[in-house]
Amino acid sequence: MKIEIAGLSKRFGRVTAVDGLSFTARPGAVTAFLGPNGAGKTTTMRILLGLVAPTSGTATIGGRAYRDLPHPTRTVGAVLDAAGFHPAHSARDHLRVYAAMGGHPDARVAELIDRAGLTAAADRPTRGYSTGMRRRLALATALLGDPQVLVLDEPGNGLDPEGVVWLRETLRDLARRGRTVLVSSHVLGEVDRLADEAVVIRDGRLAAAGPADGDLEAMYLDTALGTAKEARP
Amino acid sequence: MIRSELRRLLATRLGWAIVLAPAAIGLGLVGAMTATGPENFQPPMPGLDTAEGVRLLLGVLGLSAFVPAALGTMAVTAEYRHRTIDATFLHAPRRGRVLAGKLVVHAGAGLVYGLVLATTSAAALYGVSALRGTALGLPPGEVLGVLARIGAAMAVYLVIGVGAGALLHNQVAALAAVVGYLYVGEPLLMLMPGVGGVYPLLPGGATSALTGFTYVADAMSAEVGTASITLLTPVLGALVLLGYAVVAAVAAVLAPMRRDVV
Repeated sequence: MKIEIAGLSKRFGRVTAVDGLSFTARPGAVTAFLGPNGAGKTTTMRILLGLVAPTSGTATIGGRAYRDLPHPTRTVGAVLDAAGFHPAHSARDHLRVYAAMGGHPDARVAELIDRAGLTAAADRPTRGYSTGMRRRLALATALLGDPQVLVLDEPGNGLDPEGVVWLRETLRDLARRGRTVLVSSHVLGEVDRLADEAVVIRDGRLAAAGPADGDLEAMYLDTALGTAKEARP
Repeated sequence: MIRSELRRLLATRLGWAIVLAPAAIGLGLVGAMTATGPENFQPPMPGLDTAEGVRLLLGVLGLSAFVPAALGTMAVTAEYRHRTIDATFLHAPRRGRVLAGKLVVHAGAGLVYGLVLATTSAAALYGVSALRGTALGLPPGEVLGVLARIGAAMAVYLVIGVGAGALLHNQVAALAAVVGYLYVGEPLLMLMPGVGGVYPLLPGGATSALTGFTYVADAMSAEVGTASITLLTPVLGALVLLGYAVVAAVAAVLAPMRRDVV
């Protein structure tokens, strides 16, 4: 399932957050979604996930808007930067709430707690979780429905080196199994060994897009000089 | 959706509050008032050996409506405060369904709240008055009738709280609005000339009509010196109160539809 952003714009009052943005993310690859803070990455992702309404343009997953997906969380799993947990809920409580809401079997809850390495803390309230544990729980929530597409906003923020490796292995493995993975970041080092494709945006506009096989840093920095390369198909 | 919201509620302390808060009010407040005896209140009220005294004492429970209203408000606004609302709307992009699920679960929670309040109040009333050796001036059937109506009113207030929370999002603002209105806003409104006529239609007035509690209305009219405020009949009061719950429920389902969640 392909992610397709086409002519997307979003204005908040007088601020234009996204400005005529178009790009795609293909199945079987990790696409890094890069850009400085405030470039419009989060807004683009929130529009893609139906949380924010676009001013114009479309953002679709397998040709459909998120809202029109028959089984949204079986199709798309998302980790958002701002996502939180009820402080009194344990990881298990949290996952059980969303398993019921998404119509996923309760057996998935134990499976994902295990996979996220949260077994020891599974029944403790999330108020005592470290940043890394929160990130793991957020990704576990996204994977409840074993989705075809993953959309992750800055999932590496605040992860320790072990967590970064765990995240990279998890996402690489998903891409290997044919999933579409779109992951935003403003830290180049984080996505350097992770991404197959890269999309760079600045001021809400596309600055560069293409395979991430070469020098990602050069590709990124080039866009800062206003010498944006033509978007390669 | 309902199972999900039920799990959400039961895994938090709010789930306990649905049972413990009314038990504390029922046993504590009614117990203390019965032990003191309304005839010893300042100003003195009719004693428990009169029908009026029993009605007044039970009617005071109607003034605790801000508690279930606050619980309902907190249940919804917690999603915005702890930023679980993203995950919730991702799992159910048709947002009205989320709120419908919350309404059903919390209407149920409201009934539990009302039932616990009625049961513990009855236990405290009969237990303490038996200890004091006071024979109640109101037959048990009528006592239970009043308590049942108070319990039902509490369920309605919990639903109204859910609606207010869905509209306002911000936990502190929503709580201030709901508790502030019930506790301060409505009594202030009644002091304004001309508003007294509307009081029977306000939530507090409708609750008093339903529970047959005229003390506040009488005190207010005495204070302002206007003609005594006539409350609606209990049935009409119940309908007005239900109307507020329906408005709150519709608002709760429609409010989050198009709003950006940023």
